[in-house]
Amino acid sequence: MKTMFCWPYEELTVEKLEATRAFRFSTPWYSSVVETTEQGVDLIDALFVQKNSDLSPQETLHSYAATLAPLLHEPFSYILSNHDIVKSDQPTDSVLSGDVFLTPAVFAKNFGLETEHLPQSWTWDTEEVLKLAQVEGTELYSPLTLFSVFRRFFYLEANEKDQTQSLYTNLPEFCPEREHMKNALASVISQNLYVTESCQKVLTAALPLAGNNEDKLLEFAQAEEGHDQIMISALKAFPEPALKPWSREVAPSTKALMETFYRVAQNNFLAFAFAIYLFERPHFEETHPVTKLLKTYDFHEAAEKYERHHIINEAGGHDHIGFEMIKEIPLLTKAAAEQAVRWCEAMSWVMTTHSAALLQNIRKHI
Amino acid sequence: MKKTIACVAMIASATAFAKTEKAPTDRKPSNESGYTFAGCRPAYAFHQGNDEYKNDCNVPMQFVKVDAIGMVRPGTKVDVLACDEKHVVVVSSTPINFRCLPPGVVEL
Repeated sequence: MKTMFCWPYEELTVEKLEATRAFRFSTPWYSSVVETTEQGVDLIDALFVQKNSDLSPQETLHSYAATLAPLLHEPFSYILSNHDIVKSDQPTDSVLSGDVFLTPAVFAKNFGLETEHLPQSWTWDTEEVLKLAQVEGTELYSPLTLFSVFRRFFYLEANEKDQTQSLYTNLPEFCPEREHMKNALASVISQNLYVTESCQKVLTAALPLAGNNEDKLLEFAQAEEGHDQIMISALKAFPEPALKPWSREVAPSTKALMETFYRVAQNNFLAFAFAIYLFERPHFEETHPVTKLLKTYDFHEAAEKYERHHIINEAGGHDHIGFEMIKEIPLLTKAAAEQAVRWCEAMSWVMTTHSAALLQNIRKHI
Repeated sequence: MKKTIACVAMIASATAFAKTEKAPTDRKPSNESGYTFAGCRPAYAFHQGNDEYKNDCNVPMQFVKVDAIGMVRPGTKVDVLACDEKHVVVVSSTPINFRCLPPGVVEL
């Protein structure tokens, strides 16, 4: 088996838990406790806790590989462009004229997107991203390395502005009565309904670029089929009186999210697989926050139906599907890699601003 | 806020050493000043000092300690101290600031 080289994200800290062989790996967006062997204790302690500087670069690299490669699915490290483990088939991504990506405004105009859902200027450092992702001795770029950078940038962005947590924690504050909360939660589920309803159209749009991933994509599309029915049954499970019409409306930010996802699917398979990662990423909690709120306000039947979606996704390993697809993507040309940066930045932006927009929309009606 | 990567150069240096199987195998020893690298190679850099050093390439040179480890970009001119199948050793009489330089720049 080839070594998967990793390098810790700048934000990673590691703390040894007293009297155990366990360490807590933490970033501002996620933490995880990892138990290791006696030998592993010394290695992790020297590398991350004591920050032993006596290691040669080669030893450092191999030590990072030994400690971080088993945690590749966790958002802790860059995955380096070791060409021994990446596919070397011919690139398949379509490449558009670079002018299309000049500014977010030009980009939005070209793809029929609303500028209000995109940044005012591009902020992801393409030059440094490409330096890291270039496969030594080639003019090609590693999709896995690019993914690992995009993942960090997304979480940084989410930390700055994602209101997902505050959406769930603030809802009780904005909803003085149970009836208000019922409509607010119905609005959240209605957005999920729209996402699941639009899902097949988006997944199908990516098929022409899927290449090695065609089977995986078809399997995923099949697994996602019918999830809209779960959302419909959750909405129907709310008790009388009937839901307010606004709680069934699709918010503009949700439409923008799916429209961007659709354009991504048509144009850049790496960005598409990254978007799947974003949609399916784990919430790092046993119970989905929406389910928790539904239960707290005694909407038990709706909670049970809604949680089914979460359970099916977890059982199907959907939180890893984006990553698994990226592993099969051939190396990218420079132009395709550059365009993946832009598509992923756009997708990341619209995803991280969505919850804030949704919260605003709910407040407007309550 | 701009999103960038702070550790690209450090990673480049470390990975260069980890991929030593890609290091030159056809390099001839040279103690001539102004050697120009044909490609991006991993290299050890030394300060010039007082201790005599002899290596497999039989190129005597003075040095005291390993000072830095880094990459030499294509076109960078350096004094070659020694080489083997895995590494190229270069030297300078002044402290070496090993950076990733644009092709063609003479820094050492």
